[in-house]
Amino acid sequence: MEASQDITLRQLLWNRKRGFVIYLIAAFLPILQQVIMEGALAFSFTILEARTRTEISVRVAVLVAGMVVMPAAFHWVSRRLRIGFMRDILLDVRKLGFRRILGLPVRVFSRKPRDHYLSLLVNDLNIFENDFFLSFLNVIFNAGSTLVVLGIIFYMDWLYGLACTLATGLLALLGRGFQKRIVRLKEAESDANKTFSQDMSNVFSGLEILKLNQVEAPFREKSMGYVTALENIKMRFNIFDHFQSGTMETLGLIFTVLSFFYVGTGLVNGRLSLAQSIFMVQITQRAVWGMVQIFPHLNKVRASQAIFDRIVKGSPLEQEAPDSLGTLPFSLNGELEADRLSFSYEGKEVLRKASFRINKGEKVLLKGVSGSGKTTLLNLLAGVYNTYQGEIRYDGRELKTIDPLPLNRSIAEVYQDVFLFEDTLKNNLTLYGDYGPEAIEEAVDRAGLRGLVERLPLGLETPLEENGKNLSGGERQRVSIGRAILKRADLLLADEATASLDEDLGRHVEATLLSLDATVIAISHRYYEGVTEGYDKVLEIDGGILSVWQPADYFKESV
Amino acid sequence: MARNKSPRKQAPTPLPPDLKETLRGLRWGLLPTALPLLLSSGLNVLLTLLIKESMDAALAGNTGRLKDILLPMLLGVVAFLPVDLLSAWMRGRYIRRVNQTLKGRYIDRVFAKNISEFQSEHLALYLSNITNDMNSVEQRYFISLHEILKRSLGALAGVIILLNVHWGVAATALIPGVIVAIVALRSGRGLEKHEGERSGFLKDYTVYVREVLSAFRIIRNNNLEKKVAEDFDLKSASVQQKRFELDKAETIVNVRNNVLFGLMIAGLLIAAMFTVRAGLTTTGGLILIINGYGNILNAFGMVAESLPLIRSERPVFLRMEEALANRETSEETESLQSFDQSLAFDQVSFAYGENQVLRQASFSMRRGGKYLLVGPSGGGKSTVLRLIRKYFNPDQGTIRVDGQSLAAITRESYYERLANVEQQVFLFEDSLRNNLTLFKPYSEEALMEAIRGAGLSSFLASLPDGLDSMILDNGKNLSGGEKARIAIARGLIARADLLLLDEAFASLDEETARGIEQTLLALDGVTVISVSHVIFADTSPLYDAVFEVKRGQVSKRLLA
Repeated sequence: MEASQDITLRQLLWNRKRGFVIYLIAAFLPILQQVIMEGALAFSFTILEARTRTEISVRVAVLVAGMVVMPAAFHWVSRRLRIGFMRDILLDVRKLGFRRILGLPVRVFSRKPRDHYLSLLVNDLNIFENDFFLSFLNVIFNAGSTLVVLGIIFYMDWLYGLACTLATGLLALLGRGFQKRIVRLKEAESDANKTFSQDMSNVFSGLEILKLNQVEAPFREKSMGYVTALENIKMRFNIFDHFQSGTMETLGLIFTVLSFFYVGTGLVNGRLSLAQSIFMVQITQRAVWGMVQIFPHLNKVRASQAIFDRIVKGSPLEQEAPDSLGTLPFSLNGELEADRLSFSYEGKEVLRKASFRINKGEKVLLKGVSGSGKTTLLNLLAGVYNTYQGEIRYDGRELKTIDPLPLNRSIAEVYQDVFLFEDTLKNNLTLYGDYGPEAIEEAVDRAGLRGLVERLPLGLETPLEENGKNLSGGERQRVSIGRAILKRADLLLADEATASLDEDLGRHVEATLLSLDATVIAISHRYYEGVTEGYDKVLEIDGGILSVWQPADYFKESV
Repeated sequence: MARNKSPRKQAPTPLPPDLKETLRGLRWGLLPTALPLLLSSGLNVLLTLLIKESMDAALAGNTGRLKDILLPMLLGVVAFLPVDLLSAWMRGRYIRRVNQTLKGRYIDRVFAKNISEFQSEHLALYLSNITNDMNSVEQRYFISLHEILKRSLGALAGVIILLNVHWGVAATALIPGVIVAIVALRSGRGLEKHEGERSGFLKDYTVYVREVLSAFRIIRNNNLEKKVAEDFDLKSASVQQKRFELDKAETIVNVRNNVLFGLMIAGLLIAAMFTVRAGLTTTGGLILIINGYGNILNAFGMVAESLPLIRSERPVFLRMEEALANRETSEETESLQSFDQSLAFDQVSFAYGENQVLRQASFSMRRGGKYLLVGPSGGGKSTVLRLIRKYFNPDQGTIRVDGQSLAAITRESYYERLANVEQQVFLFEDSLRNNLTLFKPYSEEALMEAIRGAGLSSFLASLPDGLDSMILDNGKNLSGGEKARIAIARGLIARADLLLLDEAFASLDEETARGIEQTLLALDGVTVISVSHVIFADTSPLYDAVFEVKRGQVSKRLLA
């Protein structure tokens, strides 16, 4: 799969050339089928004038072949040729969309809620699946029929053919006029779908709280509000859609009536035979209806295309020019240095010319009141943001110039929110990395997980439930620490790692963190006497200003 | 010789009665949409008759008559547009009502679920139900029903048209149609299984995607993109392959139906032409016959095509019902009489899966007392809290509130006296005020007092819009400490009899934590039970008791 996400729907279809060509051929079969059917039908009308038994039998045979046997065969062949291609393309779309989202830089990804992306990969894909191929097929069928039929009409009566072409041309222009509005309405529907999905997700997440507080009623109302909003948009779309098709159909019918009268007078004059007149009326209808029906389907194709773009390319916000990725290797053998680092996040100035130096292997405590920017600093050091002023240097290399892959491998994070996969405890620890059993056992012990492993029925191989529902808050935190220990990273960033642990365990874990070889930067508001003094430095952020302290001085001050 | 009877097909699982009732009501909602459909059918009849007239006129060489018919025909055609719009509007209203009713019912039932049972299922399942499955039901069940109605009224027009030829012709039209329909109905059953399986795969897919999106940071941080993408590919492939199989099966069904259909039409056409040869009707009458039969057979064909779709939604409905079911029907009959004296655990045993969390634990708390619940992680503190919150009933023993068994008390009457401060703070997109009051009517003073008690005053002062500031997207722009204080404020404002705190201090710095603890200890008449790791040596004696939950037992910790 190419890394480039600038692929259009057209390109995607063309990527599977063989399948696409087969699809197109399969899509043309119904056109052929239609013309044959109408020819057979018109010919069969001559039963009215037939004289001998043979003549009648021939006409009956033609009718059965043209109206029963051929259509069935054509339909089966056509459909079977098409659905394989459809499946493959839809799978491609899913994969492309997913990979694009997965490849977004963290700071871009976190601008939108998770459910925005979920909606793209679920709801929007559903819409695309339902709409695109059906409408595409219809466009080919209608456009093809119209062209083929106009050709036949021209052959039969060029003046009449000219009139028909003008009529269909007029309808074509009208159809284009409706286009933009329809596409816009369909996108609005997709957005409303997303909002609804997001809202429901949030409500379900908080259901426990809502029930405990007995506030189900207002939230039910809120949710119903979103249902109604979605339904109203769907209604608007459907009504406008019908208005468009209704207008086109009415005009089409008018042309049909007029053609009917033209052919009728031809019949009266004796210019046309009965079979010919019937055939002409029928195929005129086909040309006109084809043109009438093409536009709703064409619009649907365009709308599906827009949805495709949204899934595969993303909205403008997500399409930020990718950062020029750094290429330098990562190492932390000397020091990590911040040099007049300034950063603002969503309008708020978080750091102002912060400067500090951390040597390899040092243990640093990061302090500051809630919301002062401690987490943001950790994110900066991990390379999440690239719009800071000043410099961050690892062994003299500026962070922006370092290759993100080795950077990621060398940094471990231990956060308050632990996400656990629905997989075995072992895989949640190793995160699918390759570690020997001794390394895993050691991490289990050092992270204080031995008790949990013994408690679980299958030990390390026990599968965890959705987001580790069967583990307590403290146990989850210990898994997170186990992960970090196992990774043997150069730099460990911890954000309130011991917050949900009791005194004994918290003390044990903090001591473990302080005993690691890695350089550790930890945010913690807990104080464990005898252990917390073991940090090498304390950095404090207050009103954007960062100051460096010796632990002895710092703790003397606060007690 | 006795014939071997083929084994009886298993009767399909019935839908629960209240769902049947709802669906029935929604189907009746189709009736109003019939009005404009009747109108357009009427126009159809009118135009067809005019066409017959013009054809006969043309064949008779009567150009004058032809010219007379032209104008009424054009008028009839133009009249279609407003009727069609009306029809679209009513159809839209029908679909809207369907969605509002079904989704509303789903939301109500989810809210009615016992908390523990709700949590035993994936969140993504409920989400998939209310998005994917509702979508499927709308498209394949309700819209199909509307199409059937539309075509049926078209069939009615067809019958009227045929009556203009000869009543005998009208009578015979129904027979072939019925045959086609019966055969097609029987052949549609196989699709049900596929559709149910597809729904299952789609759910797995949704659950997986949700999980990956939640773990984005971890995936990035550990270079797990490739593995995750591979897993995704597998799940997507299942979904898409299932759709392919469904399409394949549908194709065979459709082709079979089309052949029957085609034979019928061909037969009828030939028969019609013979009636003209026999002089029973004019050539123009042929148009009536063709059009009339066309409408009728069209209707039967549409029904034959739609019924399998409709039936294939049954497993979807059933699956949704299963997700909504409450298995534990507890005998809650009494409302809470009083909470003036005590909350007591009497020989309570409780196992959570394999884990025997409590073993004949007994302890008691008095009304207005302040209690700390401590203990090793995973040792059962949270479970004790869940038992107090009535998420579960004890396996053995009783929990008593003023002597009344908690198991017998209704959750509604109990929760009225309870206030909770949870670990994962739930915030929703609305003002800070509404996030604090949860839409309940509290006075400004009560609100401000709770804000003060929770240590939120300085945060509030820093906001330009104050209490009307919008909290966006589950509080992404708030720090952990700020969220915790909002949760605490919520708990304080309720002025409940019993305040339960679950690790409320975890994200707070010492100064703030002490301040809030002080407020809590000073709450008069409120029983406070706080599960916490954060214990201050100087304030723990101020609690009535510190209970340690360890190894299945709950014991009072002796303080130095």
